[in-house]
Amino acid sequence: MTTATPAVPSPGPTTTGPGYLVGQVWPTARWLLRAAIYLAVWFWGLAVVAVTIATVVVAVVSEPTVSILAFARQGAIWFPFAVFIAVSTAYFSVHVATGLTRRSFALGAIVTAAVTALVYGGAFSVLLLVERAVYGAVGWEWRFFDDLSAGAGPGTFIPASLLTYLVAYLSGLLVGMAYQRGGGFAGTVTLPLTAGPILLVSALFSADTGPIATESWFGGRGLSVPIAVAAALLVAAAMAVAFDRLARGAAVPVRTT
Amino acid sequence: MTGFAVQVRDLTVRYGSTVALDNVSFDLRPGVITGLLGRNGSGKTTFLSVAAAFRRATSGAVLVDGEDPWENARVMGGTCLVRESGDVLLDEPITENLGFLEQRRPTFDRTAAETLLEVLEIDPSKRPDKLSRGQRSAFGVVVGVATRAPLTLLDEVHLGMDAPARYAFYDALLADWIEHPRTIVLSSHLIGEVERLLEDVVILDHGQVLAADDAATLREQGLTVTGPADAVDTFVAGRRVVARQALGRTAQATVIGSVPDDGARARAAGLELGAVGLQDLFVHLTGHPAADDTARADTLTPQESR
Repeated sequence: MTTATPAVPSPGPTTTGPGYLVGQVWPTARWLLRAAIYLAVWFWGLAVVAVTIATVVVAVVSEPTVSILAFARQGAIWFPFAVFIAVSTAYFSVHVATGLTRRSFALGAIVTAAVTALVYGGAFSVLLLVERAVYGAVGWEWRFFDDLSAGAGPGTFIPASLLTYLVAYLSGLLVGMAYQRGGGFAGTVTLPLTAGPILLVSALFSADTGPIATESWFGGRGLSVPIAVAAALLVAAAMAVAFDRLARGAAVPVRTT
Repeated sequence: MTGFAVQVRDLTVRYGSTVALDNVSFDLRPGVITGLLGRNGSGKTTFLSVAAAFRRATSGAVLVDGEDPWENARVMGGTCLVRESGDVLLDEPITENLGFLEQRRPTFDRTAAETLLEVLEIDPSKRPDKLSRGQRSAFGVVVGVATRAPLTLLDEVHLGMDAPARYAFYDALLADWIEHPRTIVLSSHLIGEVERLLEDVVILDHGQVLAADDAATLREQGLTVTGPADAVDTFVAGRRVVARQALGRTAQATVIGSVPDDGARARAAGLELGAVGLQDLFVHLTGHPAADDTARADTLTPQESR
């Protein structure tokens, strides 16, 4: 061993076998998905219990006229959003420390966010249809009325939910990585860019209700669903690219006990 | 497997205006246990972080097994940096952590890990965040040893571990290394304890390399003189004494540098000569007494020793 010696020619790789994990994205996604689905089962299990109790209470007091399950939509946005922040912050260090690349982390996390959005969106849609069937059987009026357009049907709420969830979960990853890369100040300052798209995509699908009524943006007419879907997909793609770029340059932070 | 070699060339790492590593160059031989010694803030963790692709260098290069480790799947997969805090799944039981590592590290030996957990008396059903600091450090040791990465970097992993656990760790590390030779870098303040494990030593101080050589050569930078106190004092008069101990009329002094007739003079005076301890050498090289600028100015450098 020497100090300050001139650079010597590389001895070249010495490992002959695959001493590392080949194909790291799927194992990463599988690990993250396992946790996400475990949490999803808990979330929707609790939602079903809470909605059932609320429906019974409302039915005793008066008569349900709107979907109660629809109000779970906000929870299904923000709960996994928080979980994905933790993926970007807590899991990132563990991932790199186990010898895996940032690339596999970024791609695995994006795949997980997309599949989780499908799981939450699918569960939400199926449960809404069940609720609608129950309302129909009992003779109650069923309307979806959250922050989507009043009276929106499955053709709106299914893509709206799926895409809002997708953007929200990607946003969770992006928010976490922005704090990881830039610290508290930069992470907070960039929130309009990292978390703002959740509100934007919600607005794309909610023409005439909620705090952001986009009808006024489009000359008194809301966006058609296909246009809103296309716009939401573009936003999601931009967020995925931004997260990937940030993650690939991130340092593992020094952590103390 | 003989382990990865590491070549460090003109490496500089800055954190804002703070220079953690300042244009350092040295090599780590493959298949050798190297001690990375330095005081707090000397740049040890920064170097290990760059070598393990935890962070990027500001300038210069670190080549691990001949390649840049950054986003290099082969090199990253063959490198295991264990930090004091441990980068493990804190909220999952240790058994789950072992499964997690087994899926990601082809070289991970679960049986070795379970044996070591038993030796270090860690309950595998517990979560890392429920362990004491010492136990959590010990779990980091288990991860580092059982991963058997061609480049294993252990950064102050002993912190919080009690003496029996530390000695069990040293024994386990050495036994495993003999059976599965690989490059191990051991960063530690407990030089006296780890000295026997080290074949090579790198000493960092204020972001610069003070010494980088095999331990035997470093020890030859000085000598210990033991015998009657008066004779010892006469022998070392006018020389650089970096440590002195006395017990009754017997004294031991550690001096830096040697002269050709030391052996003959010592025999004539009834003194015993020995190799300098790494700890004394380390204290000498990294000491910065404010009132001792002269001594500091002529501190031995690795170049001087050759």
